[in-house]
Amino acid sequence: MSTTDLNAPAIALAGARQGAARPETSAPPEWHNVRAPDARTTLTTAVTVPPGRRELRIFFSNPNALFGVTFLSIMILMAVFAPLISPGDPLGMVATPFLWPGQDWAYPLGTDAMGRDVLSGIVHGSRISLFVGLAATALGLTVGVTVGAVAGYFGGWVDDVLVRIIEIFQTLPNFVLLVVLVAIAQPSALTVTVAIAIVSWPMVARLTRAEFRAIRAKDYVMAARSLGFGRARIIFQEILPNALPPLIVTASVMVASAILMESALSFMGLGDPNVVSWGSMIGSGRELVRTAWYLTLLPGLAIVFTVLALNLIGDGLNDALNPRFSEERS
Amino acid sequence: MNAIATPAAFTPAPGNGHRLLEVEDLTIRFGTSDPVKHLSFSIDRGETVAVVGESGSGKSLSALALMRLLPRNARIPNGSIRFEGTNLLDLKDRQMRAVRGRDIAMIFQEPMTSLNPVATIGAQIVEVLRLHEKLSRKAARQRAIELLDLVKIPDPAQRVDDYPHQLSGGQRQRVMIAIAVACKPKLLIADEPTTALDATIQAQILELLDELRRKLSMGLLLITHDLGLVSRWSDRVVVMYHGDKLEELATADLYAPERHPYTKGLTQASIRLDEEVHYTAQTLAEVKVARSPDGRNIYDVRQPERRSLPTPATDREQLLVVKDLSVTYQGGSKASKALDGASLSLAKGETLGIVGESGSGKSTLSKAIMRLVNAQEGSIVFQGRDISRLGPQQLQPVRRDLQMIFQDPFGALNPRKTLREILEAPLIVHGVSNPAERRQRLAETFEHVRLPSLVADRYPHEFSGGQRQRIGIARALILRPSLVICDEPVSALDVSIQAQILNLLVDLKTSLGLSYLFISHDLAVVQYISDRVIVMKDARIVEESDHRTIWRSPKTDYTRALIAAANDKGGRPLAPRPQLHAAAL
Repeated sequence: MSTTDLNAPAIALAGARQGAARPETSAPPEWHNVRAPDARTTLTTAVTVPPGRRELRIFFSNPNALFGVTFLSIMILMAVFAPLISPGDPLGMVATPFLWPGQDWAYPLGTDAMGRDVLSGIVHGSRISLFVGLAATALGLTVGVTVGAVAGYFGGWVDDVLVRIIEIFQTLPNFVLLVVLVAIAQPSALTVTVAIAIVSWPMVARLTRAEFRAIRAKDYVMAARSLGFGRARIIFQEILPNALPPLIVTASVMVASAILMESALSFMGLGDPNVVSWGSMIGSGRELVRTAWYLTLLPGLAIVFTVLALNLIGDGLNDALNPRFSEERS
Repeated sequence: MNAIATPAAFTPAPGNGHRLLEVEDLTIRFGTSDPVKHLSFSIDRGETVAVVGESGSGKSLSALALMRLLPRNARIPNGSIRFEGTNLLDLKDRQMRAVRGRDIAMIFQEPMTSLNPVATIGAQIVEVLRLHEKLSRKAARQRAIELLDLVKIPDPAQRVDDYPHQLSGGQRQRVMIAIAVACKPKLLIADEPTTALDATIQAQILELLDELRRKLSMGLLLITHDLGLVSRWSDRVVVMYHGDKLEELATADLYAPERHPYTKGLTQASIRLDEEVHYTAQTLAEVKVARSPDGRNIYDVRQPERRSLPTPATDREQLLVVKDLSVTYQGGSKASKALDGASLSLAKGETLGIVGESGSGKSTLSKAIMRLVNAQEGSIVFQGRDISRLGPQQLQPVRRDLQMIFQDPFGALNPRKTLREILEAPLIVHGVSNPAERRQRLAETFEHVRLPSLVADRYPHEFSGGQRQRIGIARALILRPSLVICDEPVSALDVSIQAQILNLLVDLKTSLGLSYLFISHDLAVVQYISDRVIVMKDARIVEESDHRTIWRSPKTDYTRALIAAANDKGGRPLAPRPQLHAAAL
């Protein structure tokens, strides 16, 4: 099998740029001024792995992304095994208040004003932070992708109506809307999750809509229509897999921002009062920031590193899934 | 069969002291592969040298190397590029920037994207002038107007303040040329300068380039895949394949019999309108390149075969009758008519060719017949049934008989699906639920398009352009249609692959009893494959005739102009090709 020609993603890009009104040309229309098409040829001849594996290889050869994945895996394991790592209620008073980290090795990260174990709080807090982050993202993605796909694929009045709805959400300041939503509903992990999903789906919908509009004009979608494929099949089988890369990248950043939003809500006392979260730990420690600064610093570090890890993963995915970057590096 | 291994070295003509550029032993390396290997050639002052090759030959990469504009991950492990005696590869970046634009200039293929859309054309010319020469703003503007006049833009004093989108494609390419020659370069590199333009404009642009070469006594390096163009506009030709220079020859010898088999194959595989070859009379020559066990390429030409296929009778049962079809696109407040009262009919087993320049409505016509865009007026009677008003549900069974092959072999296949998924999806959609039957249909279709079925689990990006076009044809055939609409099916392919695909389409037509609606801007291709021909201009059908009459006695001036443009790209007259006729007759 000789593979002597240009690679698909590069062409897809060129095709998208030229759009529907491409002039009839008698040579490959994929010509690119700055990078010779021949250069692409030779770069990809050596690579004959199915799409996906190459991206994974690039992703895992990126040290930042690797750090992100490792750190996040540790956090997830910690959340899953929290009852084993630190048994007992993290909200229970277990020792003298204001033990500094290292003062008593039974409580390595010390205790807070009420004598609660800070380590136990961080370990158990990871459960709510990660749960809210992942669940809100999953919910936001589902709604956003569906709305964006419908708007982008059908266009016309459907698009007009959906874009207006998206705009209504986007004109309201995100966090204010979030506070109002949680204040109306009973604060609990579920309502916080739903509220965060409600404020974050419009961005996904916009992105999906833009991708769908570009991919919809491609010849293979036209071919699918000419073969009599149904709408659902075209949307989910033909277009969506090709729109995924930017969505995956966005999803990793969404998890990070959902964690931040949840922490901010808990900090303001709008989180679930029955479970400990990183945000609520910072909130209760904020008045003692001069005397017992470790009470705000330690959960703060947990948030910083988790969000950083997610952002690094997002960057790594972006590099790996964006064919132009990955080509330059390989 | 004349199979020869990689060629013996060609000794170039001895230097005459006017040497402008001398490339010696140039190798370009990306990682572990060398897309250009040991390339040597030279250009004299005032000379036009053409580098010819198909995609992947390394011709454009070589041009970029001359400008030192290679991608960052490219390396040049050995070789030299001497420009007036200095090796460009030794220059510092700052020195090289001074050479670019002033001594060596380059024009690109795509006039639509090579100009900055937010600056006036005057400003873009002035920018180059002031970068390389000490000129006041006023003097530079004056020079810009002179340059626009030089490249024959009408009313240069007014047009200088136009933005690129106000110009036509041909005019934009003229502006690109004006920018390139602004500082009177000694060498102009033209990388596929006319490929994106209509045939009628191509000749004018090349004439302009040739005139500028004489006026400014520049060396001209013409990079192209188009042999017809090379033979008319160049002094010497360098033929490349896959990074190897196969031979270097004087242009006059291009059609001489003792050429390298690859060159010979290329010249034979490209069809010319004035030779009037038709599918009923002969097959097309095919170039075959195979890799021998010791890693060298073996070049071979499959000679054209004579045959006599019957011409399908046009008075037989009509498969498709289109009447007064009109399509209007609603673009914001203004509506533009993309198709205006088109009527045509197509008999069973017939191939109807449609020619026209870009924007003539050919593609809209095909999409309207496929019901991919909705026509506002008119009727489409397919197999005796008007399909122009059917809903998606009712269209489903019709689609089985009405299929389409697309132009761009790269864009028409979903990159995330294997061939099996691409080809089985239509069967599933059309109710072939038995996996064994699907497998069998798949194997049968692979055989039709001459692809081995063991490639079924690969992804499209692993295939070359020609192979992908075969996959596109396979997808159209797997439902066993009776009418296939081919929308520029060979325009994006290299000459040698174009011949293979055309031969395949003819074979499929005769063996499966297909009818084609064949759309192309290339008159020679349409001439070869069509039984009848329709000419389109400005969204209307202007002429219709059988395949002999239309070329010999065209009725309208527009058709005459098209034929003239295809036959005569200006420059020197073409040499006849004795060996093709000897083989064909």
